[in-house]
Amino acid sequence: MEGERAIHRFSEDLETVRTAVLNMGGLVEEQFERATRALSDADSELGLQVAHDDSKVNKMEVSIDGECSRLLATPGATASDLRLILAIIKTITDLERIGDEAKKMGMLAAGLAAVERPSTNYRDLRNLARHVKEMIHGALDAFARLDDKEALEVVKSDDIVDEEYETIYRQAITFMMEDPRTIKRVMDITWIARSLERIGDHAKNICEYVIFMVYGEDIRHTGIENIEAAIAQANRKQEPSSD
Amino acid sequence: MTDRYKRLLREVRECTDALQDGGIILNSAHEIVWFNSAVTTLLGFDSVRDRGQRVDNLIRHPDFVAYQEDPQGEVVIPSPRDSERYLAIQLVPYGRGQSLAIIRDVTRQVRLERTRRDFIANASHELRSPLTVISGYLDALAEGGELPESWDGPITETQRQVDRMTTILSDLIELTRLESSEDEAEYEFIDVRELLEPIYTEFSNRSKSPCLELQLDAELALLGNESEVHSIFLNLINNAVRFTSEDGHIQIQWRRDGAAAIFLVVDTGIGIQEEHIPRITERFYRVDKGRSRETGGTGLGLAIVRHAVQRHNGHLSIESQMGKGSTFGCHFPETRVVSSRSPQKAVVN
Repeated sequence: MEGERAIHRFSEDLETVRTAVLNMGGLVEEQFERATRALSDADSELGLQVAHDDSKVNKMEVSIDGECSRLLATPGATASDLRLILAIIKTITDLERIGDEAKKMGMLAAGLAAVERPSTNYRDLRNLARHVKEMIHGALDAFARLDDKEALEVVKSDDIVDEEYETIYRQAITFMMEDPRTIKRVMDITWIARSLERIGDHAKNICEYVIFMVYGEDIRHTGIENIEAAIAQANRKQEPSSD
Repeated sequence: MTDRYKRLLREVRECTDALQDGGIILNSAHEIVWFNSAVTTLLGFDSVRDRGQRVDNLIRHPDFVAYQEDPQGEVVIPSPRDSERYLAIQLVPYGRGQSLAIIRDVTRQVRLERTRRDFIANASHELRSPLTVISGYLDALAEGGELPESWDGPITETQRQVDRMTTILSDLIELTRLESSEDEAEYEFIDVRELLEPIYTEFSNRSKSPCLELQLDAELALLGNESEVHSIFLNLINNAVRFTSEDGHIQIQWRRDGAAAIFLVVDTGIGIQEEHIPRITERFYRVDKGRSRETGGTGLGLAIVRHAVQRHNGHLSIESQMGKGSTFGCHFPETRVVSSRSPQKAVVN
C-alpha cells in the first residue's frame, strides 16, 4: 500500500513538472510573440520590456531543474519516467535559449524602432518569424501530446526556416555593398534573422526529445530519412506486444 | 428506458455541438473530461487524444495560466491556433472541484476596442499642439492692451475654455495610458501623508469650500505608482468638493482595513441616484446634463480613478443616497500595504 501510494505521488509530481514545462513554453512563446510585435510595430518600449522579462523565463528554468533533480533521486522510477525527466531537463535548456534569443530580438527591435524603415517593413523577417512561431507552437503541442508525427513535421519544417535565413543573409550582403550607410541597420537585421534561425533549431531539438521520449531512440544528427526509418522500426517492434 | 436515455444523450450532444461557443468540462486536476466541437475550431483541440490532458498543457498563454490559479471574471487571450483571433475564456466552478470553461470568440470586440483606443490617443495628441498655439496668442492678446476694452470679457472666457480643453485632453491621454498598460503598477514606496496633506491644505484654503476633515494613519504607507495614487486622491477629493455645498462636510480617511488598506472620501453632498452608480465611472458619463459642466469637471476623473485603482490590484466602491451624500472608497490589497515605521521600531513598540 505504502509503495503504491508513493508511486502515485511520483507520477502526479511528474505530471506537475510536465505542466510547468509547458507553462514555461507558453511564457517563451509570448516573449517571442512580443519581440516580433516590437519589430513590426517599431515599438521600442515593448522591445525593452521583453528583454526585461527574460528573467521570468530564467527563474522558471531554475525551479523546474531543481524539481527534476529531486525526481531523479526517487527510487522505483521506470525507464519511461526517466526518459521523460531527461527530456524535460533538455527541453527547458532549449526553452531558456529561445528566451535568450527573444531577449536579443527585443533589444535589436528597440534599436531599429528609432531608425528609418524599409517600405516593406521587414516583410522577410516577419515571414521568417511566422514560420518560427509555428515551429515553437508545434514543438510544444507535440510535447504536450507526445505526438511523434507532429514532432517530425516540425523537424522537417526547419529546412524551410534555414533556407529563408540564407536568403535574408545573402540579401543583406547586397544591401551593404550597394550603400555602406545602411551597414549598421542591416547588421542588426541579420542578427535578428540569426536569432530566428537559432530559435528554429531549438524548437527542432525539443521535437527530437519528444521522439526520444516516445520511442527511446536518439535521433539527433541523423537526417530525416534515418529518423523516419528508426520510427518505422520502433513501431514494428512495438506492434506485436501492444495488443 | 435505455433507449430514452440514449436518445436524450444524443440530443444533448447534438445541441452542444451546434453551439458557437466552446465548452470544456474539467475535473478537479484541471484535466479535460469532455468538450464540444466548437472547441476544436476555436482552440484546435483533438477530440480523441486530448481527453485527460491538463488544459494548461494546451492553452499555455501566461495570462490563462495566471487566471486559472485565481479565476475571477474572464480572461482574453489570442487563440493558440491563430494569434490574430482573440478568445474570452471563463471558468465556472461546480460540483466537487470540477469546472466548466466557456470560450467565446471576441476578435471583433478586441479589434474595435483597439481602434477606438488608438483613435482617441491619436486625436488627443494631434489636438494638443494647435491648442498650445491658440493659448499662446490669447495670452499675448490679453497682456498686449492693443484691443478695445470690450474684448476683455470674450478673451478671458476663451482662455478659460482653452484651459478646459487642455485639461480634458491631458485627462484623455492619461486615461488612455492607464487603459493600455497591461502590467500592474510598480511597487514604489509612497508616504501617503506627504501626498495627502498638501491636497487637503489646498482644498481647505479655498474660499468657497465645504468643511474638510482629514483622518489619516501616518504609519500606513502604500506601494504603488506615486503620480497615479496622487491622481486618485486629487480626483476623489475634487469631486466631493464640487458636489458638496459650502455648509456641508467632507471626511477624508486613510486607514487599515484588516490587513488591507482603505482610502475613503465621505461627503454630505447632493448624492447620486442608484441607477447611475454602476455607470458613473464610464468616461463622459453625465448624471444630469447641466450639473457637471457647470462645476467644471472633465467627465474623466472617475474613469481615471477606477483604472488607476485597478492597476494597484484594488477596487473602487461607491455608496450614495440622494440628498444625504456619497462615500467613495479605494480598497488596496495587503500586498500593496506596508508600515512606514522601520521594522526595528515596530519590534520595540
